Amino acid sequence: MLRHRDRGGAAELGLLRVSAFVTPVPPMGGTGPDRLRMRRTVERLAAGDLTGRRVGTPGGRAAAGWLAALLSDAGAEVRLDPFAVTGAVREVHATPIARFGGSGLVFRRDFCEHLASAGLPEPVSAPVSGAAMAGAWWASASWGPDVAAAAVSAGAVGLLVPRGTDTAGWMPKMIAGPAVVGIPVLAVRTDLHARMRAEGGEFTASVPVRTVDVAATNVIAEFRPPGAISVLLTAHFDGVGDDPDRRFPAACDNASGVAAVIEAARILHAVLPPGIGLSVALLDAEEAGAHGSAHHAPTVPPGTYVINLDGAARLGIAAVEAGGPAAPLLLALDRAARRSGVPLKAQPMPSDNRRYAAAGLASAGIGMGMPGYQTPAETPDRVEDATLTAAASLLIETVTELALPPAGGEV
Amino acid sequence: MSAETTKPAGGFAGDPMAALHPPASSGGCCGGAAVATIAAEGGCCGTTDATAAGCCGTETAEAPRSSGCCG
Repeated sequence: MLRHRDRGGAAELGLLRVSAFVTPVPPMGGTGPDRLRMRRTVERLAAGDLTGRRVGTPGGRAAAGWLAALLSDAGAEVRLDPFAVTGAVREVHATPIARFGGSGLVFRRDFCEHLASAGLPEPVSAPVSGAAMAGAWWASASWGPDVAAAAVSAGAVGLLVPRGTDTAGWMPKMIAGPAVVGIPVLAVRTDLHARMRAEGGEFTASVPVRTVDVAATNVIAEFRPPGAISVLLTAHFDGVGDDPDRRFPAACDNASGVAAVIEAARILHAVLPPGIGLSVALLDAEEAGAHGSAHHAPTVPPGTYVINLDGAARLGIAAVEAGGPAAPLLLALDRAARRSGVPLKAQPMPSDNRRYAAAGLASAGIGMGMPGYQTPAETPDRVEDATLTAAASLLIETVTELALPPAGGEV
Repeated sequence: MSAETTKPAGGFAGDPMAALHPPASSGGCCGGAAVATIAAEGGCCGTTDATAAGCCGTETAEAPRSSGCCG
């Protein structure tokens, strides 16, 4: 267990404590993270003209440009780093339709595209069967490549698999998943699917989905050049994107994380001593499989501490997953959280942090809540000011801990 | 009981190093959101490598549960 000297918390000192180790910094006037500034960032990223910020869309590119300007205004040297994402993004290019039992079904409430589905641009009507059968929609109790292969082999029209909804009745949208199979596949709300299997009847549906190759852009900002200790704060700015006729604002996942990271960096830039490196990477294509971090991680100097924030909208207990040589980072995070009053829990965080860990870097992923996760309900009002502030404060405190060596020379 | 009296203490309740190997059964996914409804159909949590075993990350490589959560 590491020891460290007793240090006053950042909050107790208005913001960041100035120790003997730290070069004196200008007084910050007792200001902490600016919740209004973070709120404006969330609202801008969730605005309609950015269309949910899916990678490779005009809205995604516009978001990258806006963020680059914001980071530049905050004092960073900023560059846009383009890269390609091929064969990964599934795009719904028209609203799918479905009818069963004489009624139209509602897309993303009663049914949605399965990510492995082959495209079916025009509606096809056929009976529903509880078994693989030629000329029928097969309402299968389970999903898997073997099931899809059996459906193809039998000559089924398509495959219907069960899926639940969130508490608000939405089927969260995703844009990347398993390999595409040779047959249309739809996910149907679990209770409706059970009724189909029990009663049969005619089902009509289209699945206008396709795989698209897209151009992505990371936004890389250097606030301070690499030093004896270097920290990289990351957050993905892309979302799953709007549907053809429905908005997915992506305010929580992850406009909230972006806002907190930028605010933390802005404040740290003003108070960190020389010799402490500080960069920010706002990553694209996380929703398509963490491609932005996969592209960026190999370029990060060895020894850099990476902290990824994915969700800062509703804090219960912050989820933390670390990878790589992250023991010092975890201890710093723990100390910072104790001072900040943020409870932490070891929990899987499948996000960009894993790409940095896989590159051999000390990496921690933090999640602080995403109400309405990847549904139309993920609106700016779901992002709590208190959570934004807690997230930014936690980042600031953690970087401060890393910058201040523990007493006695422990590492 | 007031919020003040129930507010948990900050930091990890246990060993911080547990976060290096978070328990797969700890529940929750997708950035800590309480999403228990994503189908077991491959796409989950804006995640990393979709492997044959599922898409819940390269470390545990476990298949998504019926809840759809990675863990």
